[in-house]
Amino acid sequence: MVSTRSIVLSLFLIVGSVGAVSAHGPTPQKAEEKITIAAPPAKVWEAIKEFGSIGNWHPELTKVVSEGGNKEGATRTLTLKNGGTIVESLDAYSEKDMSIEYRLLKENLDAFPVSFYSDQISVRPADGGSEVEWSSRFYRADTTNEPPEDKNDAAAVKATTDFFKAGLGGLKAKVEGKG
Amino acid sequence: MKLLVALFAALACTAVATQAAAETSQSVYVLCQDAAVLAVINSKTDEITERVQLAGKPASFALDATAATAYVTQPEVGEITIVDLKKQKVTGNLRVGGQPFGIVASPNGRLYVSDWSADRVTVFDLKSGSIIASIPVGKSPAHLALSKNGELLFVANRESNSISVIDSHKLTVTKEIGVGKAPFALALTSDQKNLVVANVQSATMSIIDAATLSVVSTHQTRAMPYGVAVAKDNSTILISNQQNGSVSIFDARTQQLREDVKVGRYPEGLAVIHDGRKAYVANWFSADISVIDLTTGAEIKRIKCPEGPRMVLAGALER
Repeated sequence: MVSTRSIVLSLFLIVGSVGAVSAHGPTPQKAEEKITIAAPPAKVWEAIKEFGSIGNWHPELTKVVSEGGNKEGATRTLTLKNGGTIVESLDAYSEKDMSIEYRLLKENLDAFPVSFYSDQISVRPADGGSEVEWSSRFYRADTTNEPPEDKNDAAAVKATTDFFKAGLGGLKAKVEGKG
Repeated sequence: MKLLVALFAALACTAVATQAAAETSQSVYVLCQDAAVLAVINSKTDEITERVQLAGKPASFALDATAATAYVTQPEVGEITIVDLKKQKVTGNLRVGGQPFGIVASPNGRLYVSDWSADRVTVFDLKSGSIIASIPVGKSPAHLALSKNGELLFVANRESNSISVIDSHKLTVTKEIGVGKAPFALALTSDQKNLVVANVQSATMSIIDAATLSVVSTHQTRAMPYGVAVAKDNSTILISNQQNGSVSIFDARTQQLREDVKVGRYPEGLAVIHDGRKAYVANWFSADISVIDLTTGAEIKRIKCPEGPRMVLAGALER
């Protein structure tokens, strides 16, 4: 586990760069959520394709500030309902695959108990409509061998799964015109 | 006998690459963290032939010089699990403490183990069964590489963006080499001239001259390079790009990118078998192994495996 002091110190060192501070532990976790939406894939993609537009459809976010558009290295700062902020950065953007890949750039372990993640969200045709798949590879907040309950693997899995479920629900409602 | 050899050669020329390689097989070992299984793939059939059940959440492993034994790190309990690869079963556990992560076995019966949270490399002597040194290195040491003669140990310090070089006689760090952001995996070329380092966060590959111990060049990879392997004949460097779901194949001499091959989801460790014809890639998220034909650059098979494959090593040749 990287000490809080060194995280703070490193954060100062990387201000303005694309690098991430990641208190990785040795056992990564995974989460994957899918939802079907009664709309053509192009319409669903339209709703999510702007990296900075997540605040338009994710009900758990109160504010999103983005920089850099859809270019590799673009960032978005998410303010969660609990008031905490985390920063994500864009790794890959593909119109052709209707897919976005991004990672956690600046963690906030009290607001979102995950120390690092790399995620993908993509849209594909399914049964006359669309299916959106959102997946994550992540590490718990406290990567020592004795994490407290609110910062262990289970807490990280729950936070990620809940965040994806709420987001996909919000996206579905918005695209299907019920949001 | 000569006739037979000629016959084989003639057959090999007309056959496809996979059939030509069918004379010998090699065991390819895949460590699956979530299922706690060491799976064994037969390189002739590309099927899993054995699944050795381990305990806990094993992260990484090393093979001894004859590939008769595997040493598996257990970061969550501070132990090394010993696996007899002939009997294909666990024969014991070594207590090293801390969060052991990367591991290599030396020709003279030592295990070098990185301790992720203590920022140290532990040196364990197998003959005496005791820890003989604990060497401070950079922050969050991940994978290790040992020179063939066992003289130099290279440590990827993920959080200090550097490689620590340890002299195995003095058991001290003799040099720290700055590389890209978040170096995680590394490998020596088979001629021992270069050390190849994959820097996860900067998406670069650093080439270090193993004699002068300095970075000679840096090359772009795809997003989040997590694994490095070099073919035995020194022709090819392979880098797995975790966030990109691909493997980049570089010419080892010129370090130019030859091609990118799409593999499964979130690939990590990978290995090239002895004859240099095929590579095996652990796709962590999709829990399968991509088999890449290195003569054509095509993914020829995807083998379903137990959950959480993270590391692959090629074992001994079998006939």
